[in-house]
Amino acid sequence: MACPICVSPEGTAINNGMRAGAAVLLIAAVMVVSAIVRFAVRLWASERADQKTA
Amino acid sequence: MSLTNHKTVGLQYGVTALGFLLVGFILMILMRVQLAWPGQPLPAWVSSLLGDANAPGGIMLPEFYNQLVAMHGSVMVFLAVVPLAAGAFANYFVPLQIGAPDMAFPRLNAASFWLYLIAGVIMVSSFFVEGGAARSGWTSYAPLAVIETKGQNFWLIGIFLLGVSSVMHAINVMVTVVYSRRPGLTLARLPFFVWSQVVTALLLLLAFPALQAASIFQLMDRLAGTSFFMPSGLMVGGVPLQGISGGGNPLLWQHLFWFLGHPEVYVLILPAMGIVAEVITTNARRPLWGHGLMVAAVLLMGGMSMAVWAHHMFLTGMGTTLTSFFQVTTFIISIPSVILISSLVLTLWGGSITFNTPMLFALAFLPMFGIGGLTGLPLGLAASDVALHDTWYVVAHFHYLVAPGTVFALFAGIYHWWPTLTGRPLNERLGKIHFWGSFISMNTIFLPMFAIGLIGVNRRLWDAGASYAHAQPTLQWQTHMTYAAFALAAFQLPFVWNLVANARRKPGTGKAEPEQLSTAASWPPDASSRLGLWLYLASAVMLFASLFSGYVMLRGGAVEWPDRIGTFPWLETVLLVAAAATFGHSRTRLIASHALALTFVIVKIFSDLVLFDLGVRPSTNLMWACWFTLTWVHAAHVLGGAIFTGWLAGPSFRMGGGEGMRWQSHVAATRRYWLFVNVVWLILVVAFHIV
Repeated sequence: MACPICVSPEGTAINNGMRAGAAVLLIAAVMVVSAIVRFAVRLWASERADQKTA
Repeated sequence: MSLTNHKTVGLQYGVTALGFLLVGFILMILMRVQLAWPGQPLPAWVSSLLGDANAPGGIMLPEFYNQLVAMHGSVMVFLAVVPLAAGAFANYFVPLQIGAPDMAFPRLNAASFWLYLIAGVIMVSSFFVEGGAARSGWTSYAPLAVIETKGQNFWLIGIFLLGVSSVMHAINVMVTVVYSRRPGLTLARLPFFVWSQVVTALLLLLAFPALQAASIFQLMDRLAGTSFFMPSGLMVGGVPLQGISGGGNPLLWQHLFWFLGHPEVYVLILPAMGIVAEVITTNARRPLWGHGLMVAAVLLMGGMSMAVWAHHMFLTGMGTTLTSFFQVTTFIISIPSVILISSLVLTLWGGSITFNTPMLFALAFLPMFGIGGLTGLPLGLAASDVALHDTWYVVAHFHYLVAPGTVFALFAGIYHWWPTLTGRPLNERLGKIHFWGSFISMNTIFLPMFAIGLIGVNRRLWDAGASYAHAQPTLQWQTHMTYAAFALAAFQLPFVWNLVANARRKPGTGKAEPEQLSTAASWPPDASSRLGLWLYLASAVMLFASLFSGYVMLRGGAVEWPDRIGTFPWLETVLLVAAAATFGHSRTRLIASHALALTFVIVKIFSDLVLFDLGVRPSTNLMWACWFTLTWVHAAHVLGGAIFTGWLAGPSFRMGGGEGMRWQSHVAATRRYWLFVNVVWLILVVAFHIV
C-alpha cells in the first residue's frame, strides 16, 4: 500500500520540488565541473604539443 | 619572511589548526567523561570551570553535552583537520614541490588565513554567550537549529566566513599549480600530493558555497523571521510555533548542507592520501605505483563527490527516485577509493621499507582508512542504513576515516616534513611511543562503537543510553572507551614535547632555505588574474545555484504559491545593464559604470524600503523571503563590483596602472564579472516576475 503521506498532494508537491531543486544543484555542478575539465584538457593538450615541438 | 610568504601562512595555518585540534580534543574528553559516568558529578576543578549554568552541582546538563557534541564536530572538521590538511600542508609544500617562489596571490593567501582565524574565534567564543554554543550537531539540522539559542548565530557566521576563506585558499592553490610551475613540470609529472591538493581545492571552491547559501537562509530564518526551513504547523514542546509564515522545507537545509558535507569528507581524505603517498614512496624507496591511475582516480572521486550527497538523507523519505540515484552514485565512488588504497599498498611491493615514525603512521593509515571505507558500504545502501542511521556505528565509521585515518596521515606528514622546517628530524623514540600509544588507544575507543551501534544504541544520547534496556550491556564499554581516551591524551604528550623541544633548538643543517625561483615564464603575465577570476565566478555560480535551488525546491514543493511580484523592477534592470554596458578601458567609462552600479544599490534599498512601508517583509511568505534574500545577496555582489570598479578608476589608475598589463587584465576580468552579475539578475527577475 502506498504511503498516505507521500501520495497526498502535499507529499507529491514536496517530492517534486525536492527533485527539481536537487536537479538545479546537480546541473550547476556538472556545468561548472565540465568547464573546469575543458580548461584542464586544453592545458594538458597544449603542454603535450609544446613537448612534441621541443 | 613576510606575513604573506607561503611558508609563514602555512605555519600560521598549522599552529592555529593544532590549537583548534586541542580545543576539539578537550571537548571530546568532556563528552567521554559524561558518557562513562552519566549523571555523576564531574571533578570539582572541571565543574568550577564549566560553571553552574552548564554543570549545576557538578552534574553536566544535557544542553551542555549537546554543545560539546556540536562544537567537537564543527571544530575538528572545519577548524582543525581541514585547515591542517589543506591550509597548512598545501601552503607550505605545494609551492616547494612545483618550484614556485610563492603562492599566486600572496595577499589573498594571508587574508584567507586571518579570515579563518576570525571565523574560528567567533565559533569557539560562542561558548561564552547567553545560552552557550551551537547545540544542534555539527550538521545544524533545521528546524531544531532555527529555534536554538544565540550560539547558533555565531556558528552560522563562522561557517560563512570559513567559506569565504576556503574559496580564497582554493583559488590560490589552483592558480598557483597551473601558472607557477617550473618549466617542464607538466601536469602529467605533477607529484600526486599536488594533485590531491588541487582536487581538494576544487571541492572547497565548488561545494562550500552551498553551505554558505544554507547559512544565509538559516540566518534569515533566525534573524528575519523567514521560514525557509520551517514547515507549517510546527509544534515545539507540544505548542504550535507562533509568528512564522511556515511552508518551508527542513530537507532543503539537509540538501544544501550535505552538498558541502560529503565533498568535505574528501577534503579531509584527499590531502591525507597525498601525504601518505609521499611518505610511502620515500620510505619504501619505490616510485608510486600507477601514478596516472591514481590521478585519474582522485579526479573521478572529486567529480563524483558532488553527486552523492543525499546518501546522508535516506531516512528522510525523500522518495525512491532520489534514493536510488544517490545509492548508485555512492557505490560508484567507492571504485576510485579502492584504486587509491590499492595503489598505495602496491607501492610497497618489492620495496625496501624503513619503519620510521612517519612510515608507521602512513602504514597504519591504510587499514584504518580501509575499515572506515568498508564500514561505509552498509550506510550507502538505503535498506541497511535504515537500521544503522544515527547509531554509534556511524560514529565509528567516520571516525575511522578521520581520526586514525586522516589525523594519522597528518602526523605522518608532520614527522616526515619536520626536517624541512627546522633542519632536524623529530626524536624517533618519542615518535614511536606516540604512534603505538595512539594506534592502540584510538582503536580501543572506536572499535567498540561498531558493536554498540549494531546493538542499536542511538549516538546522540546524553547518558549513553542508561535509560534503555538494550543499551545496558554497552555502558561498561563506554567507560573503557573513556579510559582509552585518557590514554590517547597521555600519548599526545610525547608528540607535543617532541615538537617543542625540537623547535627550541638551533636550526640544523638540513633546513630547506627558501630558494629564489622564478615563475615559469611561458604564461602570459595576466593569466593568473584571469584564471583567478574565472574560478571565483565558478564559486559564485555555485553560490547562486544553491540559493536558486532553494527557491526551486520551495516553490516546486508548495501546493500554493503567492502570485508573482507585480511591478517589474525596470529601473534596477536598466541601471545594472547600463553599468555593464558602460564598463570599459577608459577612466570615464569606469567612473560611469561605478556610479551606475552604486545607483542600482541605492535604488534597490529604496524599493525595498517602499515594500517595507507597504507591510511586505521577508517573513510575509516564502516568495518574499526568497526574493529579498536572493536579491540582497545579489546586491552585495553588485556593491562589491562597484567598489572594485571605483578602485580601478581611482587609486589603481592613479598608481600608473592605466597602461599596465596587470591593470588591463583586471579591467578585462571585471567586465566578465559584470556580465555574470547581470545574468544572475535577469534570471532572478524572470523567475520572480514572469514565470
